[in-house]
Amino acid sequence: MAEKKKFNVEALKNTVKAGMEKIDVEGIKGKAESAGEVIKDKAGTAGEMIKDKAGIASDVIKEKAVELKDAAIQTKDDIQEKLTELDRMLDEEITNYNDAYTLMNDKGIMLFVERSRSVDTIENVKSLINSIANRPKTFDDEFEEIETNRRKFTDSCEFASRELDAARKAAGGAGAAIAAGASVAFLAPSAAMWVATTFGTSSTGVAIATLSGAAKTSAALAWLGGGSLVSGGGGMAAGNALLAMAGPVGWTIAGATLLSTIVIFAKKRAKLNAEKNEEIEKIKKNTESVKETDLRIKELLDETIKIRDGLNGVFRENLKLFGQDYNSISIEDKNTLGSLVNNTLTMSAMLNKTIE
Amino acid sequence: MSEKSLIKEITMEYIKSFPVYDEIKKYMEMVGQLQEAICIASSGNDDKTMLLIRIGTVLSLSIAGKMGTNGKMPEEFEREDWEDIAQAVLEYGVLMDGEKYTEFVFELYARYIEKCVEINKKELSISAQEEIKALADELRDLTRSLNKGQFSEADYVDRCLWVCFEAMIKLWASYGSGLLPEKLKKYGDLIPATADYAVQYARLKMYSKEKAILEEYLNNQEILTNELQAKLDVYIAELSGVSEQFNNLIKDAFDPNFRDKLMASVNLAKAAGVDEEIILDSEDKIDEFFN
Repeated sequence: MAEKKKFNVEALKNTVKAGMEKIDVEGIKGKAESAGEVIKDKAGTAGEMIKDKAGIASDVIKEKAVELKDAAIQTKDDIQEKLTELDRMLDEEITNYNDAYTLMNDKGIMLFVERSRSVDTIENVKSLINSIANRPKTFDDEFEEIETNRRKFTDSCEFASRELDAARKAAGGAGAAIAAGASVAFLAPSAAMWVATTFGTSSTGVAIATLSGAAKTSAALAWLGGGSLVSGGGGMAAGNALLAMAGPVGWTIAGATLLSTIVIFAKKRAKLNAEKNEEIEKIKKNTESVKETDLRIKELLDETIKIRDGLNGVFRENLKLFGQDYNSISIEDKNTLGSLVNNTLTMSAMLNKTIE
Repeated sequence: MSEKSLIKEITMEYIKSFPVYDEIKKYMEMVGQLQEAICIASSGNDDKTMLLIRIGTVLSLSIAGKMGTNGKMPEEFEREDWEDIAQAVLEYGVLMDGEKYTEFVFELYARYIEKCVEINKKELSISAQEEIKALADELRDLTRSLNKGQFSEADYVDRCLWVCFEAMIKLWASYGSGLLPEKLKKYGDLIPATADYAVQYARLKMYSKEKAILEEYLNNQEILTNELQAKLDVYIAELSGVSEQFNNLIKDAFDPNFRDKLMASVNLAKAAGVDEEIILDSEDKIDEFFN
C-alpha cells in the first residue's frame, strides 16, 4: 500500500498569501471606480433619454389627439350632410305620396261619377226591356264608393322638433351638472378636506396632514382658495362653495353627468334617425301601393266608360222596339235584345267590381 | 338597458376610476337622484320637469355665486340676497327661451372652465392652462357659429357637450402636474395627453359609428327605390295584359260590324264575372227571358 501524502496546510496558506500579495487591489479599485463612473454616466444619459422620450411621447400623443379631434369634427360635418340628405328624402317621399294619392283620389271620384251615370243607363235599358218583356225585369244597379284613406306621415319638421327637444333637455341636464357641484358645496365641506390633504401642502409650507382641527380646515380652504377666489375675496365661506365646484370634486360630478348626457343624447338621435329611415321606407311602400291602385282604378274607369258608351249606343239602336210585342219581333232583333240584356248585366257587374 | 340603468352604470364606472371616488360615494345618492331627475326630464315629454331642472340649476348656481361674492352661508343671506336670487331664477330659469337657455348653459361652462383654471393655477402646468382655456374659447366660437346659422341647435349642443367633457377630463388629468419639480414636468404632460387622446378617440368612434349607420340607411333606401320601381313595372305589365284582353272583348261586343254580336256579348259578360246561368247565350234563353 502506497503512503498517504500528508496535507501541508502551512504550504497552502503561504501559497494563498503570496497569491494575494500579487493582486493589484488598488488597480481593481481604480477599475471599479471608472466602471462606476461609466455606469453613472450612462444612467444619467439613459435618464435624460427617458425624460426626452417622455417629452417626445407626450408631444406625439398630443399631436395624435389633435388629429383625432379634427377627424371627429370632420366626421360630424359628414354626419350633418347625410342627415340633411335623409331629411330631403323624407320630405320628397311625402310629396310623392301626396301627389300619387291626389291623382288616385281624382280618378276615384271620376269612377264614382261614371258609375252614377251607368246607373242611369241601366235604368233606361230596364225601361226598354220591361216595355217588351211579359214579366218585369230588374238589374242590379247598386254600388259602393271605393274607399281609400290618405295616410298621414311624420315629416322632417316633426323629427327636427323632437331632436331639438332632446338637445335642449341634454343642455339642461349639462347645466344641472354644474349645479350638482354647487349643491355638493352646500352639503359637503368635508369633501374639501380630502382634496387638500391628498394633493398638497398649505401655503405655510406645513403638510396639511400634520395639522389638526380648525387649523387644518383653514389651511386646506386657504390653500384651495389660493387666496383669490371670486372678486371680493370671500374667505372661508367662498372657499367652501368653490372648492367642490372648481376642483376635482366638481369636475368629477360634471364629467360624469356630461358623459351620460352625451351617451343618452346620442342614443336618442340614433333612435330618431332609425324612425326617420323607417318612415321613409313606409312612405315609399305606400306610394307604390297607391300607384298600383291608381292604375287599377284607371283601367276600371276606362272599361266602365267604354261599356257605358257602348250600351248607350245599343240602347238607342233598340229604341225602335220600345213597347212592341216580343213574339212579333224578328229573330235578328231578338238576338240584339239578347245582347242588350247581356251587356246590361256586364254593366251591373262592373259597378260591383272592387279594387283589391 | 333602460336609460336609468345606463346613466347609473356610466356614472358609477366613470367615477370609480377617479381617486375622489371614496369621498364622492357618500354623495352618490344625491348625485344619483339628480341624474335620475335629469334622465326623467330627458326621456319624458314633460316640460314642467324640465322647467324644474332649470329652476334648480339657476337656484343652486345663484346661491353658490352669492356665497362666493359676499362670503356668507345661505342661512346668513338677507332679504335682498334672496330677492336677487329669485330674480335670477325668474330671468334665466323661467323666462329665457329654449335656444337662449342652451347658450346660457354653455356660456356658464366657458366661465366655469376659466374659473377652474384660474383657481387651480398652481396645480396646472402653463401649457395645460392654455389648452384648457382654449376650450372655453371654443365653446364661445361654437355659440357664434350657431348664431350665424352654421349649425342646428341640436348639432351645437352635441359639439358643446364634447368640448365641456374634454375640459373636465383635461382639468382632472392635468391637476397636480404644475406641482411637479421642473425635471419631472415632462412626465406630467403624458397623463393629460393620454387622457385627451382617449376622449378624442371615443368621440371619433361614436361619430364614425353614427356615420356608418346613416350611410347604410341611404344605401338601403336607394335599393328599396329600385325594388319598388321594378315591382311597379311588373304590375303594369301584368295589368296591361289582362286589360288588353278585356278591352278587345268590349270592342267586339259593341262593334256594329261584328258578325256574332250575341256571342260577343256573352263572352264579355263571362269575362266581367256575370253568373253564366243568367247570361242569354241562346235563342231559347232569350225567349224564356222575354216571355
